[in-house]
Amino acid sequence: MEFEAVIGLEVHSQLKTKTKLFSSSNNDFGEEPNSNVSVVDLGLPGALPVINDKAVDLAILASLSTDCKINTKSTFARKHYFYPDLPKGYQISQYDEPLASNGTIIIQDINGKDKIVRINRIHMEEDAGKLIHDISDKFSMVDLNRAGVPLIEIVSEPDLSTADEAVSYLKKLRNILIYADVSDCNMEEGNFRCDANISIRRAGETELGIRAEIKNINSFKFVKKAIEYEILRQSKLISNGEKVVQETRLFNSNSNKTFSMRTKEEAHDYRYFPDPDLKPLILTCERIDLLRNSSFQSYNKKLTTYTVDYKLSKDDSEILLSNKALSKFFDDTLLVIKEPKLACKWIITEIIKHINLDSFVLEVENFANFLLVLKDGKINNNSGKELLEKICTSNDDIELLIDSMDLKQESSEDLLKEIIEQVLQNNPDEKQRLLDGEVKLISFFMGKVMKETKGKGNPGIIIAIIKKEFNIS
Amino acid sequence: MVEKKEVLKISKLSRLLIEENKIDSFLKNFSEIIEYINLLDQADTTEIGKDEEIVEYSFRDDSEIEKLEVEDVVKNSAKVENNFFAVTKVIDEE
Amino acid sequence: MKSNLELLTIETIAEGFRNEDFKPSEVMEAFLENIKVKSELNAYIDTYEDDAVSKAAEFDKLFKEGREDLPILSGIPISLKDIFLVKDKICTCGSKMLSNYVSNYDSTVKKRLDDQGVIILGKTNMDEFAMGSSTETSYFGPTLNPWDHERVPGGSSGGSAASVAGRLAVASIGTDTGGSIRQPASFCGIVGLKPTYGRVSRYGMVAFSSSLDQAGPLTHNVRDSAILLDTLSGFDNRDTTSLKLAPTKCYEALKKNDFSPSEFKIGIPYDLLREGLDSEIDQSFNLLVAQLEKMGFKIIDVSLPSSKYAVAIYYIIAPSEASSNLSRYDGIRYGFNEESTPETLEEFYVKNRSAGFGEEVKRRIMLGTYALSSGYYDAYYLKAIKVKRMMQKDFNEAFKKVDCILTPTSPELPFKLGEKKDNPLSMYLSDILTIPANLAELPSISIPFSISSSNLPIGLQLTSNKLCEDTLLKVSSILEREVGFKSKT
Repeated sequence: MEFEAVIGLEVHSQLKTKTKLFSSSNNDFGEEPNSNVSVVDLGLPGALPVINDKAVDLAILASLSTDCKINTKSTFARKHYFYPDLPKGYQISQYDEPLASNGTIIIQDINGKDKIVRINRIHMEEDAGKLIHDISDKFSMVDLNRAGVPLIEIVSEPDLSTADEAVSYLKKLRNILIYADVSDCNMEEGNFRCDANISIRRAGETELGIRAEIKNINSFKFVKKAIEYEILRQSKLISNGEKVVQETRLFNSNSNKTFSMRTKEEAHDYRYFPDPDLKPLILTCERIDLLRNSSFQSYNKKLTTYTVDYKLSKDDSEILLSNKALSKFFDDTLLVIKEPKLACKWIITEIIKHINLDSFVLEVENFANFLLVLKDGKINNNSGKELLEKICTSNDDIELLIDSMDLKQESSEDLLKEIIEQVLQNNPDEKQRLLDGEVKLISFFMGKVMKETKGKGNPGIIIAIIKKEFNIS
Repeated sequence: MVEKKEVLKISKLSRLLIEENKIDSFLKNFSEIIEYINLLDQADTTEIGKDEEIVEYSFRDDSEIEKLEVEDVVKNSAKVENNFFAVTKVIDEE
Repeated sequence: MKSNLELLTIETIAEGFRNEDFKPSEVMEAFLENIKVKSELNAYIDTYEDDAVSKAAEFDKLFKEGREDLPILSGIPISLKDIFLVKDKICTCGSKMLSNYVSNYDSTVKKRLDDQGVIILGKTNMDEFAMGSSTETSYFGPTLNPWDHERVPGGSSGGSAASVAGRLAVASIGTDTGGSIRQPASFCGIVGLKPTYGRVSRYGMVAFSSSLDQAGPLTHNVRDSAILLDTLSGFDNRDTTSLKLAPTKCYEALKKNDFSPSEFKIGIPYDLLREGLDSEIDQSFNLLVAQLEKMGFKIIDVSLPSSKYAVAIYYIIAPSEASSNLSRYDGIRYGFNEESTPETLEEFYVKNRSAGFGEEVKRRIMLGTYALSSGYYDAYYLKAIKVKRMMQKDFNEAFKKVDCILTPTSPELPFKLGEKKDNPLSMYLSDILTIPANLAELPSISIPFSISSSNLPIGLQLTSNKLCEDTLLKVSSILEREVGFKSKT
């Protein structure tokens, strides 16, 4: 029997703010237990939430970046359940009036064709604290440092059909959020988490099957494994005439299997209602437009600029866009020198290694000079690599460096001819084989000549001389 | 009259126990109140929309840090270990 | 030592300090003495005697130096309902759940009183989590009515009202969710003011029903209430629901004394007064209306047809919000903890919460849980919100015609302790006249105006349009002067 899977993802991503969503304690990770906790996070009597301006901006940016419609009025609601990591006994979230809705993310399907994945909604909510089970045999331990950390939840429509598509959706979403500087999206630190809703149906059917929800999957690899396992599990059940149960499951990364949470608790009744401590969130069009038109440009727009206007490949463009600093360096470079392809090549191979280091001091003007000397053939690629390495951490003047490092490309035909003659004499066997038509030996001689010129020989001229010598066209 | 099983469901949801010997009197009072509240059925609200007055919103600047010292965070707790709040072991099956 | 200092008001004490008739420490001593003498009233849960004495001594010095920049409330001894957090002091909210809870921070109300030099005498008794109309649901036992010790002082701010009426504080700050300032003020023969919702910050005030709770003063007279409203009001950036407005300036407006009855139109909502009114209250209220007309007020009939739903709306919205607000009490981070070793987490919650909360609180949490639970939300919570809006529209219409709406504060006289214990619904129904102002977010005040044949006080209630506290207090001060009676001494 042929089955197809229907997959929808709910992604929680922590926002990059200094303080929490509704309180002024630090939004910081991995510190001493309960050291970043305010009266609000602790759920003390009389404490009241006040919303973080920056968090709202970041949530709007995330929504704009995924082409969502921003709702000028959204409301915060309380979601009730009792758990020790939830200090107030409710989580402040958004329910029937989310911040944004109806967005899209474009991914590539197996055949490399564009596929549109619809975003149902993006809403804001606070994170819960952490419950740690492995410190003591007798107790579970509660740490509230994470309680109140701002999150957005991005809910996709069930538009994905394979584990690979799910992973590429997640990667794309992650890039978009990182690019918009909304979130660090660090999966190991748990600031980018994924729940997957999976159901299967016979190929061609339109009705949805019964779904299982796999909670809290924390790496791309596990997402793939969990979904693959789940599709297999459900297919087997149905093939055997059994039924899929609607339930919450967890993924065990040791066995690569999902398993039912099997909690006996009553069906959840979250008793959502509008939080009376927080008035509806009213956003002015001015505020939204300001963010839309700020230096920030959405990932998708940028991707189009790179691929269509600059004619960069999609892969290269995505590498540039995977890192906000990188794409900014690229954009700034183009303001000085209009050499998108050349700039891109050096940025995604060399600059990428340095850009996020504290030691990186290279200014775009100097990088533009660097590209210029390359373009003019003053230095070759090998020297370029060496030179770039140096200026990344020193920002020294290019011309001076070329002199002091003695990197100037040797383009004198006479001199190069002389060296080539010498090399051919020293390697008579290879010379004979080249004469016999073994063309690949050109690179052998190229290497030898480069060695003699200490890497400074102009490769174009060298090849031309060799080809001429051996009458190769 | 509200049914007993309904009240038990609510009691479980609220994490509140009604003692067995008090359940009847509780049920009686609870039902009376619910019955009274059902008065609202008579109110015709078809003309009432969701219109609310829009109020000026106060936001908080994401800059100033204000938090409690760890000692203050845990000082009112009955069970603290190494600055964690210690609770009944949660059995998560894995 | 001067005698009867405890009989004075904020205004007269402040004047006495400045004329050096007496010193802050003498006033303080008189109150501390009276608190001891009348301890059977059970008005206080906690007193801060040492702090109060040393603070009074500081003010002695300041007044002796002849400092002229001291605010009017400097050195004035005031009590606080035990619902306001005071840093490093226990805040019980009348509950076993919080009987050992030491506040980590100061409420905005406490801070603003501090800034004006108020000396806080202690924390007053109240119905548990402010849920009640008699102060009988307190974990710390009931407070007695100073007029008649067999009767309740009203609630939930019963300790506050008794502390003022019994002269155990010059004034008190209470909270009002469905009448919890006005009804006890009426039962104890004093003035109680609930400001417009959002006037006074709720930060650091233990939440009962967040959309209805509002703090306000209980005092001997209208001017004292004006002084305290001016002190407590004004935007607070820690409470998103507090109104972005400057503090009121009602005291100044009253001192000008440049207003007269003929300027004001008073509405009587007879549809709200048709049934359930105690006959003596009914009679004296009708006399009052006739008297006001004679004085030159314009008396106009107004209609508030949806107010008949007020109690039903209230007993959906308030318990719903309460069930949510009280979810935080689980005995983990603070609050009552059985210290048993339950098998499961669920059992842990059930044990702490069942032992920590009293009957009435449990009942309301469960009512709210019921109203919010799936399948009932639309029929109860959502419906209540809509009818509430209908009621607000009624008030909007009425205030196009009148400045204030006048009713008795309570349909009944102070009842006997234990009288309504087993009948929660009848207790709820007695809030019928006070609840509408909370639902419509309006400022409302109770002023004593008559004494029953059984020698119990009867209060009148005036309600004005949103943010019109100045009008409300002006009319109140005329009524107080012309038809009021001096508080019990």
